[in-house]
Amino acid sequence: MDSMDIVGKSKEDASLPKATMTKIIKEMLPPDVRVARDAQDLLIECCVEFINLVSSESNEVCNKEDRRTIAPEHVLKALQVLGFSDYIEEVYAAYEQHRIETVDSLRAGKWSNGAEMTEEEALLEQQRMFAEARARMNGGTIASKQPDADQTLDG
Amino acid sequence: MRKKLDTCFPASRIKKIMQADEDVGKIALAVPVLVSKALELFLQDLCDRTYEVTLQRGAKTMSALHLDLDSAHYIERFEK
Repeated sequence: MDSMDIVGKSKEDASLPKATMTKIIKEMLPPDVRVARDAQDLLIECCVEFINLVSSESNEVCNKEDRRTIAPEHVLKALQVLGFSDYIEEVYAAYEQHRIETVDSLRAGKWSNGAEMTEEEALLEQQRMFAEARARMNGGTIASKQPDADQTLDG
Repeated sequence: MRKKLDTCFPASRIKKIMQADEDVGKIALAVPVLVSKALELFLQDLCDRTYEVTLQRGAKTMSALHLDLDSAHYIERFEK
């Protein structure tokens, strides 16, 4: 695999925190199951590999569209290309949830009323978005217009 | 069937890993959120499948050997 050829500190720093990963793996397995150290390390490696795989493919999708910034829909497309279509629905749901939470925090800043009102509205909006999402999924296309495409992280 | 996780993956670390790849440039704000969720699903699948092997072998502790036996399926995907 290509990643093995890259020697250097940057790859080492870019790994997932062991303590967090150990916790997560424990939560994912039935209680009382012990995980040997070598298995833990290997699982973490697989995770990093997965991230690299999805990144790389997302980047390809992004380039093919002549876009400079990797957007959420590129990730979704990448998952499909890589054969992880099963994940798409839940990943999209997480994305929508994130959008709502982001909008919600912006709204809370503007209004003095506070959380309760926004939560109800956000819930309605979420349902509407899910319906839209399902319609889009069934149509087989993902909308290319993303409102937060302008939000980028400083690379 | 999926349990809800109490702990989540650090988005900043995911972003770091993604950008360790030289070809990768800018990443939209929401992207690590998506990758994080996909990773969660992937890891859960991996754990489930590996655990099956652990059970089959009658072991109480999951070892790397169990993972090796199972990862053949994933290696096929990776080598696409």
